Amino acid sequence: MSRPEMKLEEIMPALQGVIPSIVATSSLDHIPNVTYISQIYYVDNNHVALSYQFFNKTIKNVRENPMLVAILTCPVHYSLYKVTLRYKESQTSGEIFDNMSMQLDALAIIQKKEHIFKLRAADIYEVISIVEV
Amino acid sequence: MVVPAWHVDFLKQPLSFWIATTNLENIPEPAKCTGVSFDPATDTFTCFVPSKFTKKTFKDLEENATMALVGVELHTYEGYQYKGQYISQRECTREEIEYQHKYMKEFTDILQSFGYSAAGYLKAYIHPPFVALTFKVTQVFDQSPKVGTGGEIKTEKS
Repeated sequence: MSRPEMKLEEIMPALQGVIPSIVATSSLDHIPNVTYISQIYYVDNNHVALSYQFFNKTIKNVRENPMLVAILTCPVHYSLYKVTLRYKESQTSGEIFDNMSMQLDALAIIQKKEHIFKLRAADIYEVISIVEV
Repeated sequence: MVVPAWHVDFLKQPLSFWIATTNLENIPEPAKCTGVSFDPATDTFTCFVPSKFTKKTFKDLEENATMALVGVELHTYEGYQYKGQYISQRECTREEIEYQHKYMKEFTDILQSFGYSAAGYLKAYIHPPFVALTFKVTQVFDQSPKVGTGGEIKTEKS
């Protein structure tokens, strides 16, 4: 029996950036890629933003194939959520970008990785589905 | 050899390991590994994964044998991505299950040093039975977070 789908509001603790998330993408020619991402940021009921720090395989893949699957971990109960996302656009200024940049700077200071955690863009994704794993 | 010789020691650390597959509609699927075993003689990885997480993984592999494995050192974020072709799957042996418990203990000790709950992680990821999934590496990529990351690592013979 498949698990019921959830809403973004139900997994808010997993979106606080306490535990890094895993994201998987695929190129158009069916080659998967998997990596960690520092932060998945709540935008509204149907959208999240992912931090774009380097031009890497994840960024390249979502520009040609917009589907991305993330695994988020709740830092309170350690529940795992599989979130399927569709890339919409990239923002390099504005409220979402500024807020993400601020959160990322804070994470960088905590983890002493200021040289790594520099936001280039806030990539906006539509939430397609959320299921507890 | 496709995987650099010095990776053999790197891979013996309790790294964070995840695999990914994708179907022909390009919907990817990540799955947590509870340890890996690497054979440098054949450039093959055997990835141990709780079967609870493998339903879509194996469905994907039936139509597309290409898969990826990432190994990341959690203190430095030094990480490498190994891509290749799926070969086979089987149940884990008793020795492999013992290894996974030892690996997960070492892995969660590291997480605990960051302030995370070891018990929480074990609850999230330890779900027997475990499957052993083998693939042959064809490409290796640097995935350490830095400008210019993502480049392919080539050995002299690869």
